[in-house]
Amino acid sequence: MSKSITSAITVEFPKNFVEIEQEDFSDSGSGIYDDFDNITEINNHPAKDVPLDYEFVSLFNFAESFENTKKRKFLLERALKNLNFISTKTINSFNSNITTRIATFINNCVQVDSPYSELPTALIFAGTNLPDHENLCIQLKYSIIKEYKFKTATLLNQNCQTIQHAMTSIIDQFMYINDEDAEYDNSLVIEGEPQDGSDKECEESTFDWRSERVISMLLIKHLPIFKGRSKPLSYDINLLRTWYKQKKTNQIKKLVIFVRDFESIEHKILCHVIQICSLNRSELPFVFVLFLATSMETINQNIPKNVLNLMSFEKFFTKQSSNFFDLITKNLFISSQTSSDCSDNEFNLKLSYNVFDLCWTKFNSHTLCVESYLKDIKFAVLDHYYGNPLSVLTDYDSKKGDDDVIEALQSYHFTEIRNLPSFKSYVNARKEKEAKKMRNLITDDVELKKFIKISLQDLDKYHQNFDTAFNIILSLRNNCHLASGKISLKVLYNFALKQNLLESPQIKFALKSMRKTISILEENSNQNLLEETVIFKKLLADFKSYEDEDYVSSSEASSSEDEISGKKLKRSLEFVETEKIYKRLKLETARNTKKKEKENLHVDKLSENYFFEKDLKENQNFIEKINGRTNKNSLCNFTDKIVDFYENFFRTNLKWHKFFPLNEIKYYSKESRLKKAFSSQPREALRNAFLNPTFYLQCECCSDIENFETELNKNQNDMVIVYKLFKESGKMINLYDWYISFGTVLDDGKIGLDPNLVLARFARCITQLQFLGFIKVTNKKVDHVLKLTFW
Amino acid sequence: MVLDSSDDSEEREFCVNNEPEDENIEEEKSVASNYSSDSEMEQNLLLDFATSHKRVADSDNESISSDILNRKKFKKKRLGLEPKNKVYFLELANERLSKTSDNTCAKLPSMTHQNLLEYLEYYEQKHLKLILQNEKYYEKDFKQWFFQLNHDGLCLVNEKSQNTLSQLSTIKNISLICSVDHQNSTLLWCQKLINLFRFSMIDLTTFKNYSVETSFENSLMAKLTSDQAGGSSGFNGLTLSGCQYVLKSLPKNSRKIFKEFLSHQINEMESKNNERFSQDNEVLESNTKTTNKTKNASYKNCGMNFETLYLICIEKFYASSRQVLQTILVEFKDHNLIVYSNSESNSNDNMGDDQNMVCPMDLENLKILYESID
Repeated sequence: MSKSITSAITVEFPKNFVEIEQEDFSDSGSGIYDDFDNITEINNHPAKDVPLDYEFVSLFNFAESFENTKKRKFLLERALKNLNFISTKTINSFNSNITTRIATFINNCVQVDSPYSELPTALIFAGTNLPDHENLCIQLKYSIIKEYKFKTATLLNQNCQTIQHAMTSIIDQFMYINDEDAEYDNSLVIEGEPQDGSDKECEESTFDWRSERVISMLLIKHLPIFKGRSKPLSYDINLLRTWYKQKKTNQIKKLVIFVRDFESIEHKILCHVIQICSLNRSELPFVFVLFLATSMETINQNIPKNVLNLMSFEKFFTKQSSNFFDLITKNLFISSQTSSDCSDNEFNLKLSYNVFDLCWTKFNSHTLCVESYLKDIKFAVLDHYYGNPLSVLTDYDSKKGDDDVIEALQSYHFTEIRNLPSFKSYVNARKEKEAKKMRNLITDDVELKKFIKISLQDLDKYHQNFDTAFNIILSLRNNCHLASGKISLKVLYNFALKQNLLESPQIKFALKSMRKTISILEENSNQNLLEETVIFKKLLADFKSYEDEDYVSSSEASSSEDEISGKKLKRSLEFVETEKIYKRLKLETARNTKKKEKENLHVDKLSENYFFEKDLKENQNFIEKINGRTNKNSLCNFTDKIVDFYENFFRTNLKWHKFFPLNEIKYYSKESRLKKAFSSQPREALRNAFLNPTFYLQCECCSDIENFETELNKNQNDMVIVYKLFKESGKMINLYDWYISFGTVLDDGKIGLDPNLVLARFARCITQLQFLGFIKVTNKKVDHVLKLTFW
Repeated sequence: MVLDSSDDSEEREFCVNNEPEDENIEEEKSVASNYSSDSEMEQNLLLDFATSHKRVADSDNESISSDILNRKKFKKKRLGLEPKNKVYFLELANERLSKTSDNTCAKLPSMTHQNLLEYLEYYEQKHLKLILQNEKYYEKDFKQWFFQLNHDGLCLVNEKSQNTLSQLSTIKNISLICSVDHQNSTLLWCQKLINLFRFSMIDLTTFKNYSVETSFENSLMAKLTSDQAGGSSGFNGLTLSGCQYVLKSLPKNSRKIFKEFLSHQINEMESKNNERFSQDNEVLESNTKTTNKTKNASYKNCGMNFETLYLICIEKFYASSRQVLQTILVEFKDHNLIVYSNSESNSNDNMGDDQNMVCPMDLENLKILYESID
């Protein structure tokens, strides 16, 4: 198979409404796609010597070095791989619960060999996001085959034209597909897991199942039913029966039939399939799994009662896809990669507010489908690495010290960086105070390199700390008292991207709820105390990990004693807080020992708290030394301190990303591109073309026309003239009047036009307008056409 | 009708199909931006693009004539007159594009998804069936195909075609590069289809004429002029697809009656056509100046009256009484499937026995319609 890469160049007009793409299938050699090579030849640039096998377009008018172009390609591949890895992992973890439940049901469902037994059927209410069903189905299949070695078949819409088609497809899938085949479909299998079967094994297995089929065919020929026939029919259930009998030694306990997209399937055919399976249930242990997008109603409406009687249903509900959206967003954009397990699988690109908002709006009001959200992200990744020369810096790892990347930057890159808005605002803000430094940044490339390094490090650090601070706010908002309206992760993240979160009501609200919670602790009478303490413990656990990291980094970065003592103070405060909570907890547990359940719960909590206790004891002396003034009884003071501390913490770590210089390198913000690619409006494009043809044609004849929207000129394109006349008319248009006005525009009185030619041109325009869907024939009035668009 | 080819206008919106992106990242298609701020460069690129595009457009114009030729062959094929070379018309259209490489483009406005599959099967007989049955095979020895389609063309705007094409586009080795023209074309796809197609849209307005595309449509102007010339009561906008749609919704018995009616009209029109053809030949032999009239017989002066149809229906047990047949005919008339050609008064009450009923369509379309009735 020949590999072919699409390369594209997009040119934007000043008015930003036209986009032309050119493609280069570098290996294809097909005439229509040779144009790109011509462009490289026309531009006599030194960079034209680059090897022909390059696949990414060299940017900066082909002046970008080959290494950088290659690097971008490499980074794109890595980013897509990592995106795939993270999303797959998230999907697996998100669905794991329901998959296990369904798999257990399929395993446990009993089939009694009696005339009244029913076909066990799992009904999965998977939501209206149809494309996501596929992932669930694949995952389910995989887990069933892996754990229980059952055989599976999927019945799809396209196989359901006739009952013969449907049965053939089911029988073929059962008989042909063996275990290796199922694992072949490893789009949802995480890389790194051991995969069975090399190529050779595959070939052998292929041979196996072919021969297996031949054997079963031979066996079938000797059955009394097939005597006299030369060949059994492919849709005959006896084929499956014979095969199953033969296979039984290997103990296939269940034959699972998945019916995906139940609503669109031909229900009559499905009913027949169910009836056939039901008739053979004594010999063939069928289990059905139906994926529903709507509700139970659809089953009752589409399947008749006599078929429903043959099945016993078990309902399963999947989680809402908005939770899935949250999880994906969290894993991709919020979680700091260093703290997660997969430090090799970093996904560094973030979405800016515009793009994220667009994706979220599309998800929320149109698709509800995570697949399409991932598609949007993939497109953003492609666009970023393909078109932005600075994307070589996106994956810069300050810890590994990728200094080669910065060294490989060219002068074009530096110009590009100096043109970034964030860089400009950074320089402008400091140009008076640090005039010399700023001048160096603008003129000296070496200085700029240092600056790039530091800025990227800062950004990395910011993202790590942002994760902790963000999670604390989220849990404060959602778990503490006073949280009248809970807020979802995506909404809060949207806030954080849109504006400075510090100035938003979100933080104030979080701090307020924290104060309230502590005051409730003080009252000492609330049953929910335990829950609250657990929350605080969680917060502290989050916080502790952060503190440790920060502690190390700060000690490395600066040796100022004040700062370190400040950190220590904060730490001590934390421990005081824990101590308080712990003591109160003890009191509570003493009171509630009567109730068994609660007791158990408390014991659990206590055992968890044991570690805190240990910590406390170790640090007791330390705390007392530093924070001797802490009066344990004055909780008010204590609360203030805690809240102040958190406020400071948020202030340092929840800055808006736009405040950081060079943030454009890590944040993708070309929202218009996404819009054009996935929610384009052909009508708008046509309208633009008619009203502003010069932007497309760039012809000289129209250069003297000032107002394109209203002015009519004979030099203009016929379609443009006809469309403008079309715009002026009402709901119905008289064709004759239209024709006359068209003729008047064309005829300037000097040269007499051939009326036949005018008619021909008019007829062509009318036909094309009809073809484009602007007008329609009507029976209401003679010689009139109906207008279909009104703007 | 001669059209001035110098005034070009055509608007097209192209969709580039994104490959299903899993492991093979190389096959991703992308729209990407050049962040370069050099405006001169942009201008140059644009000019280069325009010239290259024009070159492609010119070569397109050359192939239009062959396309029209193909269209005739295509129609013949649909009528069952030329069953041998299934993919001939496609081969012609793609001669230019398929010379050099594995990557092949197919382009024809009247192409249906069946033609596309036939075309694929012709070259990939071994693999296609396996591919469509089982995704397992798609990576093995299967060539890469690119199809350029008029995606919202009349022949492809139906659920079945779109479903099939979407299935086709999920195969990794097949990419679709489609053009869509209609202003509401995005309404064509539901969420499921969009996800399968993975289109990314690019506004690519070329201002080229829709010469080939519109030649398949019943032009509004042509309809008007022919109606005016014929003097029938207003134009009825009868299209083949419309007729087929109406007939689908009618009961089986009505369809049978209509089929009988059509067979009669087709026979009549064919015989008239032959007569005229022979007459013309005679005239041509005698006088070379005589213009060659259209060989396609008009439906005027054809048709059958109520009584004849009634007798046929009685014979074949389609209708038991006049009243039943009348009711069915009223339905036909309401849907403009038939018109009363010699009627002086058009009211339904006076559907007299002497009136001639006729289906207002040309012979070729009538034959297609006849074949499409079950």
